[in-house]
Amino acid sequence: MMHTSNILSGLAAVAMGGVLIFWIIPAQTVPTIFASVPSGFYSNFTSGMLATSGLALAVSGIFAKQPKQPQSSAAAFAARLAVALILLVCATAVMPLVGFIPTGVGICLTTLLLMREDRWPLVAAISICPPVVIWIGFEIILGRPLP
Amino acid sequence: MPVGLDMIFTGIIDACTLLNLLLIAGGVTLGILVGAIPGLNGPMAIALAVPATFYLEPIGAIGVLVGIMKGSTVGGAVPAILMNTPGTPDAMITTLDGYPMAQKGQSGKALKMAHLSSVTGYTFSDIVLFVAAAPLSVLAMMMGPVEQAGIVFFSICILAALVGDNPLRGLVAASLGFVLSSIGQAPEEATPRLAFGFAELEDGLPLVSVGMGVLVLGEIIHSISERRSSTRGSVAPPSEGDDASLSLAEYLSVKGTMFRSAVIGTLIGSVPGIGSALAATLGYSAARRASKTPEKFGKGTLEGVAATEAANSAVSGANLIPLLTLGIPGNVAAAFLLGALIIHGIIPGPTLMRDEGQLVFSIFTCMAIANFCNLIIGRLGMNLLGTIAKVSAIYIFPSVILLCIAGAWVSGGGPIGLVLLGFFGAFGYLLRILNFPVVIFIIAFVLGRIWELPLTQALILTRGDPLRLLNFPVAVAFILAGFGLVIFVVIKSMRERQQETNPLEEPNIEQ
Repeated sequence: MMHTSNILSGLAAVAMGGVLIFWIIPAQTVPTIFASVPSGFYSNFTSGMLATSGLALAVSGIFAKQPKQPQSSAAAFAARLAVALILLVCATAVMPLVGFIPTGVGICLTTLLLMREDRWPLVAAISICPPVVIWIGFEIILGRPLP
Repeated sequence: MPVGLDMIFTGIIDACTLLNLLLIAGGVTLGILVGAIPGLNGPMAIALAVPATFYLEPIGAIGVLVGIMKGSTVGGAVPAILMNTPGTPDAMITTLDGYPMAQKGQSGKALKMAHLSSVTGYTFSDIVLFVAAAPLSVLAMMMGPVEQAGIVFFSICILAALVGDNPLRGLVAASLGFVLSSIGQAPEEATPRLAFGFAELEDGLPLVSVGMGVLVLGEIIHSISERRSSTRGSVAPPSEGDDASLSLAEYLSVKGTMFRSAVIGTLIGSVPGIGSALAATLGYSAARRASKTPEKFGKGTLEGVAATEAANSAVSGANLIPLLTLGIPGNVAAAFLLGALIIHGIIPGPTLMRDEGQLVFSIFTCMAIANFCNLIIGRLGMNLLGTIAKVSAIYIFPSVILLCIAGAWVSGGGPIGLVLLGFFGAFGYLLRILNFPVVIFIIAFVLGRIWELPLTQALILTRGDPLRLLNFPVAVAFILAGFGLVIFVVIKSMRERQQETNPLEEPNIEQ
């Protein structure tokens, strides 16, 4: 049996390296030449490394056996990743608009609920105190403005 | 490269200011506290502390980070001994003898042994670093850019081969780190590259957002998704009388074990990428083989605790040998030290000892002071740490997340720094669940900024012709050794897996 995870991860790395070399790097690099070295050399070199190591990983996956270990279902994995992604990116994007303390309270509350903490006085205390203390620490004591 | 006494003394005096002493002591205290809480670890604390070091002088900044690095290993032994739950991965082996000792009512003795052997291991490897750094720098200065580029490639291959369970996954993670390090202005042309029109990205991706995102947020998301947060080991009973103290005779009875483990830890630490967990395992097994009473190992013996702690602590000092002589970070903590040095305009590498010799001796002094602080603070705080170790990480995670956000914001990242923090948090989680080694990614990301220059110079010197590489036999040797190591480990691990899968196919009678 092939090592599917290695094959898929390797192919993803090959695709990423290819996209970088053929589309993103040419579009996002000012074409100059310094001492016969083109400006995109390092980016292309490292992207080539990514594609090559990805290809090697995919090829090794064909000859390797799938390890026998408990794996969570693809749906549960995708759901966890999606929730984590959405919550994180939303919180960090919203914070400059809403402010540090309200978003901080939301982040603390969500973290505690995700950890299945149900002692409500504790939840309230840990949701409110850290954002306020950190805000005071940075804004007032250190004089470094937060959003 | 003259290393004059005046340079040494000035370096020592520079490090011995009251502010620096307080910063180092603060770093050690923070490291010990973080290490004592299962779920948190030293690299996480270092990542969180990096933004604060922006506002400090270079010596103070390095002092804080070195203090955290050293303190976290001492703290990691506390929950390992009291609750059978290692505070840091380094302390995994400490549970084998530490927890049985605690169950026998000797927790005090085990904690003191762990603490003293840890300080002994640190001191030994620091002395090796102090003695070896200058001669190794002289050797390193004989190398040109082609050799330097070859050594970096070799180091990444070592990392890939020895960290994680598949070297090719390590190489993919390293390549990702290198690709992301190429974002920003090219060093020679100073033209924007892969910045996607964001002026904020023209200086490159901020180390704070990437480091804290991948290392701290990624780990927290992973812990939350795995429901790993609370300490689950039962707490051992407190010790009383002789069992609560460690006599000088008991300490001296394991001096040979500590010395052997310190040598093992130092040798392993001087090779980039091999972590302190492996040093602890090797130190423990070497002590068991050499012991007159090997049957006592695993049942609660001072030798077992001393061997493990001396070995895993000795790694940290030696990890700075490749950093200070070649500019190659040996582990994540060293990678952040490298990042902090770069932020302060100091580029570690072969010329560091020549150009910034005074600073190097200040760093050495900081390390010696951190050892002393470890001895005193660890001694005074050991009883308190037992209580702190019982705190579940669930109560710490919210504050850590907010500290990451505040750190990313105040370190100059602004709104884009926050978005990058969130993105790299998710990216770090993705790397973990797909089993890619996060450590290699971070080291490659930091190292990539240094690798570009010698690599470009190597291309100019060889005029892009691979055959001209034959004029640089040392570089060729490093490149071939790197390839050879990866291929060897890949084939070996594939064979081992094939051998392992066969017995598993037999039906389990008990089920």
